[in-house]
Amino acid sequence: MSKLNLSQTQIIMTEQICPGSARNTISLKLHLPDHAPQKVKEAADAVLDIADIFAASLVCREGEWMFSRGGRKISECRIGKECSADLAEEYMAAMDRQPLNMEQCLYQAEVIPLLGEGVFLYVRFHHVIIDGYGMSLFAQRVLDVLAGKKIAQSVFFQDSVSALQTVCKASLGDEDTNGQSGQEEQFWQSYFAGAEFEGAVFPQKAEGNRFGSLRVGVPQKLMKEAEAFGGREDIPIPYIFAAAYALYLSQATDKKDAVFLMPRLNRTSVQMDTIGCYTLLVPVRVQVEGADTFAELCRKVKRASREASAHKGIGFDRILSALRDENMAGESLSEYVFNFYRFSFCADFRYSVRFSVAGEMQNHLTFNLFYNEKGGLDLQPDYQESIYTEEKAGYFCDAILAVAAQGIAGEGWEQPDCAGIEAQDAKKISDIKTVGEAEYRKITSVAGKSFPIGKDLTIPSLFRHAVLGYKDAPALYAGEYAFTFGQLDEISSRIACGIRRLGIKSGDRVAFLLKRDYRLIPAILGIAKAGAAFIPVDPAYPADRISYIMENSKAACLISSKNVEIAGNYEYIEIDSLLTQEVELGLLPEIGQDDLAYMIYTSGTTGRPKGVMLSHKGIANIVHADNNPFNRDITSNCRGIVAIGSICFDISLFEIFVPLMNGLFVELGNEKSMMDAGELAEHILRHGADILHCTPSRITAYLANEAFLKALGSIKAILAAGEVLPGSLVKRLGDAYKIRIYNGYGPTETTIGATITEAGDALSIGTPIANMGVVLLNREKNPVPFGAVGEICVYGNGVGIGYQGRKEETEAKYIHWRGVRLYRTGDMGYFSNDGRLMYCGRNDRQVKLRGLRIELSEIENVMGEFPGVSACCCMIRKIEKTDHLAGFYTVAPKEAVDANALKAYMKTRLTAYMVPDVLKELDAMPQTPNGKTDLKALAEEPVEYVRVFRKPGTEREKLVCSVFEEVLSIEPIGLDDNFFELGGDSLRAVAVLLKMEEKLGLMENQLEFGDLYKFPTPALLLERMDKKTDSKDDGGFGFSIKDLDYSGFDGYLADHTKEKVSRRFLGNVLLTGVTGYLGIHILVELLGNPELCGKIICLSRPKKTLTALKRVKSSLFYYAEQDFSESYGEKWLVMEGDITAPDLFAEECPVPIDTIINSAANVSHFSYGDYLEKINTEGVKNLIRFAKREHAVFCQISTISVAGMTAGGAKKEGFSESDFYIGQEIHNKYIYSKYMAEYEMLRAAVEDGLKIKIMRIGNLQGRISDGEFQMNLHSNAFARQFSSFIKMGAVPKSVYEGSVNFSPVDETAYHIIALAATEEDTAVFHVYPPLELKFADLFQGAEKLGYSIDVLPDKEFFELLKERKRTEEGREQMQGLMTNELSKGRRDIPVLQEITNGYLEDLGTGWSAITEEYLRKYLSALSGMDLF
Amino acid sequence: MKITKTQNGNHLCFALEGRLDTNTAPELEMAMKGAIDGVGELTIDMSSLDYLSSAGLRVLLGAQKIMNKQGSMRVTHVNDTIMEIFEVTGFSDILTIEKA
Repeated sequence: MSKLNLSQTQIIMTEQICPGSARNTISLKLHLPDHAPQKVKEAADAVLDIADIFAASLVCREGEWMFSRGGRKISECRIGKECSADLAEEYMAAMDRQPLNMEQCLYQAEVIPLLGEGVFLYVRFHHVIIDGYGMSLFAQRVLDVLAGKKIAQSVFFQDSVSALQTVCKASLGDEDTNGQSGQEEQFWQSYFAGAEFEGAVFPQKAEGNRFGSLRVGVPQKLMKEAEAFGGREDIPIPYIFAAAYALYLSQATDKKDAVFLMPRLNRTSVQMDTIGCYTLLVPVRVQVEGADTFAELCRKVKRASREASAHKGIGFDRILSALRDENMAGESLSEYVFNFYRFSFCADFRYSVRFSVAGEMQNHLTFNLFYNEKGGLDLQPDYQESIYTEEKAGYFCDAILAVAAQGIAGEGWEQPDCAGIEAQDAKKISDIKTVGEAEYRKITSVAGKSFPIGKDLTIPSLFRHAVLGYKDAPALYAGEYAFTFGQLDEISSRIACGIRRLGIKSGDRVAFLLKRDYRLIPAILGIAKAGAAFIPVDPAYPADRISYIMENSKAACLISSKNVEIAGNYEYIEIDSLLTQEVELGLLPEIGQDDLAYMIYTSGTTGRPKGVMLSHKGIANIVHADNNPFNRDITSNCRGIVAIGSICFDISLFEIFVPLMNGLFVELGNEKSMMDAGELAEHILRHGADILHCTPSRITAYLANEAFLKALGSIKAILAAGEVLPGSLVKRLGDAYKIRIYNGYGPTETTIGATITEAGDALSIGTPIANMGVVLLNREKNPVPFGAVGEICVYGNGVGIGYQGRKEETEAKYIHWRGVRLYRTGDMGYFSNDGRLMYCGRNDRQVKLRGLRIELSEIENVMGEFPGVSACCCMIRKIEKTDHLAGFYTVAPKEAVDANALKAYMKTRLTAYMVPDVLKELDAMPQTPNGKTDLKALAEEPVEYVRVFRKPGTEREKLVCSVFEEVLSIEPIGLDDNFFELGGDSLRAVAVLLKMEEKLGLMENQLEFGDLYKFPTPALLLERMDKKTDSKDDGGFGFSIKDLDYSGFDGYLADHTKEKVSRRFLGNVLLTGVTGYLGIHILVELLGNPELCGKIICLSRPKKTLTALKRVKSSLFYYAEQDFSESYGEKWLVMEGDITAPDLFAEECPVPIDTIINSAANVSHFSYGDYLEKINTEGVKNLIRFAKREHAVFCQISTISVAGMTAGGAKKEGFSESDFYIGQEIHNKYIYSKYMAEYEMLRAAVEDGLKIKIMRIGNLQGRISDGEFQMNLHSNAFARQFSSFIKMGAVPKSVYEGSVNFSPVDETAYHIIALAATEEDTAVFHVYPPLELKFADLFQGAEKLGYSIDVLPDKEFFELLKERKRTEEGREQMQGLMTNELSKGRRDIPVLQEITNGYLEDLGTGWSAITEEYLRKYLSALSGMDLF
Repeated sequence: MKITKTQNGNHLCFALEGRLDTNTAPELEMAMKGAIDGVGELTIDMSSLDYLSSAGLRVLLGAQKIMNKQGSMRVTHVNDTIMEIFEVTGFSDILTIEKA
């Protein structure tokens, strides 16, 4: 036996994190064109013979992995089938991705003869026996043997004590060096002190772990220059590329520092010739400073990596945890790895060597740098396919080569002019371009259609064109008033002439303060016609804001009216006086497109509003009918818009100008319509408007209004701008109303819009509108790589003039960049792999929590999908000095959202750290005046957080917390931290129990599986354990059922337990839970016995993209192999709905219902949260309401387990069909939920005369017809338990001699229907076979199928269990046994079924005997589904 | 059900069309038995498969077990209906699945 070295220990650790993955499969591909297969096989075998590592195998002894050393190689090289080179490549690539089971086989060598000539020698290794350098030694030795040379032995396992110690010192952080390792940890903390870095360039999270690889040679010219540069500056060539990598990473992540991981050789001189595994990974931090020269940067990288390498000895895990202790790292440190291989091979015949260094990738990109056979360098990025495309990997190579070339030469590549952006060259390191040419071309050409906009087009001239085209068409509706284009032209000209007469000149600024009545739009047009710029002021503004605007804007005058209350505070021109003016066209001036058209005041960061100045050019562009898909849609398909945007936000100008300039009408919404859904609905219907613009949060809020929902029917297109558009909203509007929904994005500063999505695209913010473009820049104003996050910068026709009176701010935000004028929006975005622009919020909406980057919008999307949630918003809130993620939401009318259920749901969709710690329901989402969510107000919303970190004090407390930490991989865990809220699940719960036993030396079974669900924090668990040891107290065994109101139950049950049988027609049946195992069989039996019922309505939920009908048909086919299409519609129907929804059906149920059969249930015996109650109890309450309304018979599928257990307190010795509460105890949440469902039914029967039938069934098992078992068999407790015995190959005697309730599902279903089709004389039935199945029969059946099972005395069995618990595999085997609960001195109450059996007999049916033949079918069905 | 077999070196592909059930599963099993020997990569193309029953599922598992020993197997173009079956049955953890 030999211990593993640190390198190997770390590899095994990674393997255990993802068992069965190919992450540690590495391979060597040696192409030998001139050799025969047999010769190569012999050479490979010779090498396998001389290295002792190939004779070793891995074994796990008492939880520790060791090498068992053998004398001979474990396996020989085999010769495969001859095939073409292409096929061989494909084969090898596929095999690279296959995991090697480290317990069975640590390597596989194969010679693949190639069609034509030559061979591939392909050797796959488990990384634990060899590293990259070791593979090169292997390859060279094969070449040596082929060349006829003798090869020396390679000894990995050092027997002498001194040699072992050398290894320890060199690579192990064992006990002797513990004192030092504290220092090592300090080193790493200081190495990373002050680091500002980001571990990933691309914002996506990796999914799966397939990777691709690209190989690009370094051009000869560059290679020569690199050699010269390296010689001159004394820099080894790999560091030139590592420096290029560092500079690339720092620029791409927009951070000062670059961090990547680097494997280090870690071999002493003695080990340089040893085939084995020694390599250790270290993080390298490079401080990239713009002032450095490239040579300096190279030296810095060299220093940084050597320094890191000197401290590799504690292993990467401890480095990472040392950094986490200081909050310097999150889950991972960097997604980027740098590998450099310098293998020099020699042979005097033709060959080529390639390596694959991992079969699966966990990180995003590994940059491999190889010397190839010709002495040149190759770049080989291995990239995670869910993050990179081949295109992006190619860009990466281009970038590295470009950086290296620029760095060496001190000048850049010539950049092409793209979309008007001029080329620029670089001289200094800070100017080195970190994107290559093709990529640069791509990222600088994201622009909308380009077409000329007439130079003469301004607001007045555009309107004039519209008047010419649509003179008598309706242009404006406002309240009682209606204007045609001709009339609107006339009154706006009056206003224009009026103010000209009052002395307003071209270029003046004119503010207006008006209510939303018919004079508003004429005022805007009038001011524009007069050659002045308009400044909207909202009457709702506070007085000092209005005064500030008047003063700051240098407005020449204010237009207002006596009906505006605050107008009296200012000197103003009465608009009514202007409306009576005479029109004199000669008074109206010519206007230039670059003249100031309007000023809009937006909130400034300093607290004072900023006046944004825009010219006519942007408006002329954006109102063009062909400017964007929304314009194209409405100008060809629609009639008019309801304008409800506040006039002080520029989107209102879009609402007004796009329709007006294109001949559509504007229905101007009054003040009330801006905030009131009903009023808005009226506006929509008044003149048949069919376009709406609205923020997503406002539409979401309005969807609760019935009148609005009705009005939506006439809407054709919606522009939802100003906020992230939730996908659920798009779907809802599209599905229900066929509304085309667009999402616009753009700051005021670029004239309303910059990009827009095509209808239906909810994820991205679309593409630039015509004559506008977008480029994503980092802080240094360099474009970020394609796919990386950068600031969205907008250029083109819409870019405005600047901020009134704020020169500095204007210069900072409107910049000249490579020949174009662009506006830096402060919004962050990135390009998806398919080139769409994705929005990631303001710089400040991207947050970091405990070192992890969080996209708030991503969380909000998930939150918004939860049924009942109407609007939601997430943010980081500081609570008691700690940052927490807080989620706020509002609830749709008539719905309720349970915060715990919401949290549980979010946990299924998001990684644990993205689930908010705090969830708070609000009555209404605070909104800013323009309808966006008011983040400032939310930041003030009081929140409370329950997870307060309580430090463990005693040893026991520390131990329990450390178990949680280990299992959850979260540190630190406090005493009150909830296992499930931190991402715990049932598998991890098993791990906690096993670890607790191990660490605390707990007595066997002192803690049970269910305990963790009931006591999910370390403090509660400890309390529970203390109670158990201190006294006989059972710590709250059971649910409290004794104090329920049972009045009238006994009498009712006595009256409703009759022996006589009279049949009844079921009538129309509502069947729930129809995709479940029992439900589908009930459906099949009903369809097979059509005379028993009328129509069958199946209530089912859609799931993801699948409709309810599809799901039911697919389940039918799965079990019954036909989809009953021919009778669909006639005999049976599937309706969408959900029993947890108060009104059950998504649409009205089409027929009256006579019988409800409820087989919907959540049958998990352990679950955290309130899923069980929701479905099993609340769902039944909803059905009861429905049954009462329909006067239907309610037939509930329940469980015989409601009979419960007793410690002697039960009033009766048997539980019959006329019993409900007899003093039994119920200790399981699932049974409790079913008990409560029965309770609700009986209550409704007693009080409201509800007609009920309760079918208490047993343990559902395979079909009597063919043994077929339930689809989700892995979730069946009985099956799991049985599978554990089989996998362990052992069963305790007490189990073997026992028996089990065993109810074939098809018979159970048939009997349920038969019993349901009887008059209501009897309310309760016990529907299961009277004879139990002997376990012995079951195990004997399994043995006949070739499974060997030892029957062990219980004590021995538990010894075996203990032993198995020590290994991962053993734990996996015994999982099914962990979920068993103990009865603790209680026994099951015997159940009687005389009445039911009598009924079945009278109905002429009964239970089939369980035969050997049936058991054979049943067991093969289980084994065919991979249960054991 | 229609089974279309394409062989390319040691890459074998079965394209399934229609319904894979008790009647047709044995056909697929037979077709595979005769051809799977020495195959390094097996692909089951489900782009035209409408329905899948438990019997069909078992044949897939059998094939996967064989391929575990000699190469790899992928199930491709899996539609949402069939994907749900793979998920509920836990086969999504056993098979290498590429969605449609």
